[in-house]
Amino acid sequence: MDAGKSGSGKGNGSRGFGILEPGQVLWMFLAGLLFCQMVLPSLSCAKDKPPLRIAAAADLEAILPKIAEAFTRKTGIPVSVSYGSSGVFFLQVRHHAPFDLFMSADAFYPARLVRLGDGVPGTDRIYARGGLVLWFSRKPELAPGVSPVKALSDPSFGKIALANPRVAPYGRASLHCLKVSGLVGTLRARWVLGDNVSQVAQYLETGAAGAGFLPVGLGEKLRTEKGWTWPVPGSCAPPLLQKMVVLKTSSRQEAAKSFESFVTGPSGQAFFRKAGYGR
Amino acid sequence: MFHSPFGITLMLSFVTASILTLLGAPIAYGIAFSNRLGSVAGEILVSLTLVFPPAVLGYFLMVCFSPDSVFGHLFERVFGHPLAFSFEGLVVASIIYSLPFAVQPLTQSFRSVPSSHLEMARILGAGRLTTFFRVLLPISLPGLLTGWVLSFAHTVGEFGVVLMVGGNIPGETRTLSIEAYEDLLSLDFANARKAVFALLLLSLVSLLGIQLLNRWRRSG
Amino acid sequence: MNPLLSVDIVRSFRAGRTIRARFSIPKEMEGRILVVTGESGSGKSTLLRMLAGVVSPDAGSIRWNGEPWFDAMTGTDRPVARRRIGYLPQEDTLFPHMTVKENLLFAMEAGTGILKSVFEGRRRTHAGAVDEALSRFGLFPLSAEIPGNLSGGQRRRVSICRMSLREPSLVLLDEPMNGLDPKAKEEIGGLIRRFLSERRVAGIWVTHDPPEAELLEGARASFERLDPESPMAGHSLVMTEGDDPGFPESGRSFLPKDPGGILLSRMPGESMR
Repeated sequence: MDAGKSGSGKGNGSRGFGILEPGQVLWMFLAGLLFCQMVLPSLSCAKDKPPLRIAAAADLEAILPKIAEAFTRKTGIPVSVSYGSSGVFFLQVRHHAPFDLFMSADAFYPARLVRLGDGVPGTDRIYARGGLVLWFSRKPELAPGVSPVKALSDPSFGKIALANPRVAPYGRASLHCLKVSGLVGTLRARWVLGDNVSQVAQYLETGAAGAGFLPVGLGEKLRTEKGWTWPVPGSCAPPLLQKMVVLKTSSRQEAAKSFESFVTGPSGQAFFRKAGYGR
Repeated sequence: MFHSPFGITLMLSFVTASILTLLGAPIAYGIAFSNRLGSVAGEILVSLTLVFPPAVLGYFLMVCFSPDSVFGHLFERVFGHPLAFSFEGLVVASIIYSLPFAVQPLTQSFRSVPSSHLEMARILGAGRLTTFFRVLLPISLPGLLTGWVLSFAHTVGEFGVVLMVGGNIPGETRTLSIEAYEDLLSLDFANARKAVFALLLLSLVSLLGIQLLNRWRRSG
Repeated sequence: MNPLLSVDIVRSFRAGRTIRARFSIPKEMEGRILVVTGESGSGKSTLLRMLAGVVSPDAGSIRWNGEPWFDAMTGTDRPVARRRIGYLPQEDTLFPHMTVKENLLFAMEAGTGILKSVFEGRRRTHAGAVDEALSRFGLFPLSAEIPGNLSGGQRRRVSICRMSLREPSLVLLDEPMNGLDPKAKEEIGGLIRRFLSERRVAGIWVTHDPPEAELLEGARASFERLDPESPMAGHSLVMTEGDDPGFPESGRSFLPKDPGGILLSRMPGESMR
């Protein structure tokens, strides 16, 4: 840059990039626009046969793929499922997310959607009665007759994982069980809250937490690999009524209703029973 | 290809980075060459999304994009489908989310161009536009490209905003980072590994791009 | 008859430092130079930047052949591009991303306007003039180089060539010998002198180096401290040695007649407003 220092690397023939002329910039811009015009529609345009779009609570991840597959085999209607927190889906449905059916982890959100006018009245139906299991990284040593919940106070289990009671229905049930057992005070310092039940499963799987509350479906999945589970009885955590609802903005309400019938029908319920859900 | 999470992520990052580069140039110009108050205000405004929790920003954008809002309603009237939960919605959200990553390197580049060069362009008869396109922008080309690569990389790794605004719809708004997260949570490690590998690949390519750019800038 | 250039300006800086300059250059100065000296920070560069139009004075006026370039009273401030100035700043201002030839082309076509230039095959129309200038300044072998590959003397030569393409009527030279070795100094000095006398263009040559000023032929002026004790108060341009081209009738009443020819005097502050 300094005129005083004479440039020594002289004559290596490097070209300037002053060749970037306004005309070329303009053409590049136009070409980019054209490219976007061509590619974007292919991305966003609906496919010939749009699948039935389901927003499902995270605890269904272990079981819903099988049910959806059976449904598609029977009716020929493809199904596409998004898993997430019931609370987030509730917010998104309130802002017209393009789902056809919402399967919540509780009864509260679907009923609320119907009341707010985002759900089709009469389509909020109970599809499962979700139960909790308590998962331990190893079988706790217990005196006979003592509830395994009490084993949570054993500090050798490390962190206790449960879903956040403020946003997750299963978290509320877990907290209820701890309250009934009188363990909230002693355990508060040791518990970790997951955003949803999937995250709780993640904590347990990786060993970040030594024990925790899971929905029966996910507990089933985890048990096959390691650990020890104890089904939490209804006296400790009342079973969760899980509801689904067809959404007002859906253009495929009939297909959504037939999915509802399939899930509540005998073949759908068989899947839930096998996974440990009650009805 | 376009509907796989990899394709969507690639496309989203590419489109976002390219639009941001075009959009960022005049913004960076405004920040670099306005008076002190204007430049401080502009920089704060642009960087606001850096401190905002992505999920909260995503919720805010989702509300803005929904057909209930004036903006979302207008978009739906013009394009025939809502902005929220669509690929276009993701693009708009990513542009807002990655804005500082495109604007800041370019602002720095603009500021480091000696004012004597810009004065000389004026003395040689160039107007503002000519000076901008033929002197300022070409000299700042490394900054422009750094901004492109950074916003590309940032969009690849974006999660909270995409989850909120996009709604995790397979084939349309499910990006690699959401897929990786979902696979991890559902204990599906085989698929998670694939998604993470793809993410890693994209990140490596972007970072390599930045390294090459830096080398070019030092030698140029 | 109006003088070629008449200047009567003040510029203040934030710290309270003031620069004043009041002088005129008669028609007879075409093809010759006014040498301006002064300690560093005295306002030499600022004066040139005000004449070029990239910095505006706070008060006063600049007239070229009687036409106002700047007048604080009427709010006139002619755009830089329309002053036909050749400016050789202290810093190297060849555009680093353009080759020598592209730098020269820029001087020819910068004024065309970006949109218009998109649709015109402007390169070809100017290529002849640029090639001619390249060979006249002995730059043809360097035309494809970028400035980063050139020596200091070569870069200065290209800058002068680029300046000449604008066909300026006034040339402002800010330390044109700065950083050059003795051989290059001789070469560049000769080049500038030849250019000015061949084109009959007036030049203002700024230098901080007294020996360099000694070597230059022309009228002389220097920036003197307003407060002899401290440079902080500011500086005023004072004529130290006038060539005697004979001072013509001034068209402007605020400039007192001065048989010294080029009038360079301490300017009374109260006369400004």
